[in-house]
Amino acid sequence: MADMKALQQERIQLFKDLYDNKLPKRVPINLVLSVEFAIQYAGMDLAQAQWDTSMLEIAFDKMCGDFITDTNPAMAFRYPSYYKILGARNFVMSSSGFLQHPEVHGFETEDYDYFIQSPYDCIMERVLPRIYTELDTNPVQRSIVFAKAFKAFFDDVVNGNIIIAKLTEKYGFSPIGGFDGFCEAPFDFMSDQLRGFKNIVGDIRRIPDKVVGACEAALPLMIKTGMPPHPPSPYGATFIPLHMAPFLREKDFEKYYWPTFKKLVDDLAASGQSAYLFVEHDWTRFLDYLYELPENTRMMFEYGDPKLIKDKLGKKHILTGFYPITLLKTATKQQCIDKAKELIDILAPGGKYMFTFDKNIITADSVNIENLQAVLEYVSENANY
Amino acid sequence: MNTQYYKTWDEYMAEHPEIDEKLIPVMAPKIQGYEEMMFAFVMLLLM
Repeated sequence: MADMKALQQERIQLFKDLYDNKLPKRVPINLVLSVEFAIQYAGMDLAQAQWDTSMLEIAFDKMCGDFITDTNPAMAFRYPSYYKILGARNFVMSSSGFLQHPEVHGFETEDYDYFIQSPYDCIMERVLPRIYTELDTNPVQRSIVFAKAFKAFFDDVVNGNIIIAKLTEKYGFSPIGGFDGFCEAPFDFMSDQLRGFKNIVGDIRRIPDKVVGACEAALPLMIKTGMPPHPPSPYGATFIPLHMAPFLREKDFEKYYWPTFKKLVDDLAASGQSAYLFVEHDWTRFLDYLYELPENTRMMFEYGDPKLIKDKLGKKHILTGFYPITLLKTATKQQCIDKAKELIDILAPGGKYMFTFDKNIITADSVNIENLQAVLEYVSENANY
Repeated sequence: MNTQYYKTWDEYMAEHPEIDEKLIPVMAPKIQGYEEMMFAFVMLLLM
């Protein structure tokens, strides 16, 4: 146990140095594996273990013991219980046990004015009952459904968090290095489950001012959502997955996406909370914009030229990602290790880099487990400063 | 926030003048905590 405490302190120091603009002893590893990965890897039934969350302790424990990383790889915040109780259309469990996310929208064109005037009321009164069918009922029944769903959410999330905290201590993981909040860029929030990707593109052409107004109305909600439930720390971060920018023309990005997104990240930083951006798809066109974000914004890149991005952003921000998980399935062990070496050679010099993959690993069969373990072992033993 | 579905503690207090002052230190974090949890849950449902 004393060894684990010492290991944990060593790992914490890696991240403190990273965030304090110092060279850490080595490149920190921030591996995230999905709850589905954990359950499949443990050989359990996917649907059953997501409903009976007591089973997750065994699944997470096996995963924590088998993969080298400096932060706890277990992450879970979506559970089927409350989605089912609410009659969700946006997250539906498939026959294989995966929570699928169909393209839905709960916000109609005529809702813009009300949303701009009072976004939270619009969400409560109009959007939620369209997406969650069990809420589309009389007020008494709706109250009962909501109470049951909230209780289910609270029970499952608390249970999951207790398990994860226990394993963090057991395996000596650093409690810092990941994120402790979650929100979306206002334009992504509007584009995702409110209007849907297809509708928002039409709205930009037909009612541009209303789209701008809606993003501005959504901004305070996102700032509030992105703040952690405890005082912010320079070692914490709010996770913001970025969706729509690569699908926009630059002039539309400048008008609709960037202003409220930048304000969101700026305001979080001004409150003492950094952002941990998942820079989805290819943001090469927008690197100069990303540079303008507050120093030490964490940026996990999916695609793009690591050298170009290191040159443009690496002295100001903290970079991660890039490593293609597809390689873990298709390449040899040596090729996988060589790729890790290549990325470390580009990204590690000067610090401000932590190792992870280009996206979270969702299923156990999407990678060759031995390759994954070999890469993590290589980084932990060789990426020293 | 311009809404009828989220209240700060001060707004709650304004509606409940009967609350004993000595209970405020123990009531405020609890009541506000539930308010924040519900807000976080609602927003998660759309993300």
